[in-house]
Amino acid sequence: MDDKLKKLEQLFEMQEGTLKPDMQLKELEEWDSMTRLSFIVMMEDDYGKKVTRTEVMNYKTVSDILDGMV
Amino acid sequence: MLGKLEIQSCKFCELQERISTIPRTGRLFTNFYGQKELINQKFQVVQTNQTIVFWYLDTAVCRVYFYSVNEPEIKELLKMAPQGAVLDIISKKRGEKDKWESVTGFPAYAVYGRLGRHIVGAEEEREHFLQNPLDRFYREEYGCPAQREQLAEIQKILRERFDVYADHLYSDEEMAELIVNNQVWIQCEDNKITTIFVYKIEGKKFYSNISFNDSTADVLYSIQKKVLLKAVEEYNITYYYGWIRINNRQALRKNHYPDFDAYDYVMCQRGE
Repeated sequence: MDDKLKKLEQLFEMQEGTLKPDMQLKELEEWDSMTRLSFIVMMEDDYGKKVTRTEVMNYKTVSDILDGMV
Repeated sequence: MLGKLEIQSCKFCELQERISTIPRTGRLFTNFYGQKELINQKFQVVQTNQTIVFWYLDTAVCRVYFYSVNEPEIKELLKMAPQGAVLDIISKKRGEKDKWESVTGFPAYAVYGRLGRHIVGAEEEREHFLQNPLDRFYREEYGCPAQREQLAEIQKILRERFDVYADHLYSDEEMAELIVNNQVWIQCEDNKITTIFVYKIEGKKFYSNISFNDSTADVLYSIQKKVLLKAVEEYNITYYYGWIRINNRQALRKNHYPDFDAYDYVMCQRGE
């Protein structure tokens, strides 16, 4: 979990230890269109998993993203 | 000390006549440049021999203009504008927030930077897009012109997501016309509009002040590229510009923290 959070913090360009699983994505300005695209690319490159735009847009919390990172 | 001033009504042509009577006896202060979009408006005007202040009700806000060779009078006459009135002051210089607060007496509400770029030709523009890191995600199939029946949904999204005071949102009539002219492009996901891109052609200038994207960055990029390249070919566009709020982190990042070639100081009696 910690590794995945760290990875997301890098993606979000946030300081280590600032991202929490229960955070609402709509309240995070870092979760913007560029980060959403970068997430899709990261999932494909690092996890070999294709994530669709619709899936990404339906994520509500940081936890939803973490659940997809398997 | 100013005497009792009366607020009068007038049309655009009369306004220009009134402005022409102001003698150029000192340094000119103005945020009025004969903007074409004002031609059909009716204004409320208050005037002295050296200063004219006028305003009209835009889609949702009252927009105010001044033209003066007497700086202290500007603040005094602006006090007669309705509460919540908004001033847009365009300047080439950054960091003039305090100056305009002092001149107008209106608190600064937001500052926008103009992102402008000269366009040489279609080939060069295509090459320019190829240099963009997002270009590897470009998809021709992203985006389509909005349809008339989507007007209400588009306006609802824009009114919810944009700042009615600072962003120049279009009225329903203006937006309907833009839709008819294929100048509103959208992308839908699950039957919901997730991306909106609105542009205008001003002679050989391509102007976009509205882009909204709840989807991924490649979608809006693809729409922008497709639409701009088409416009460059059809209208021989030589200049592209848009405005972004200078503290909009998301927009700054997407545009690679650009240099701005002009600033719009939005002053509003409501304050920040």
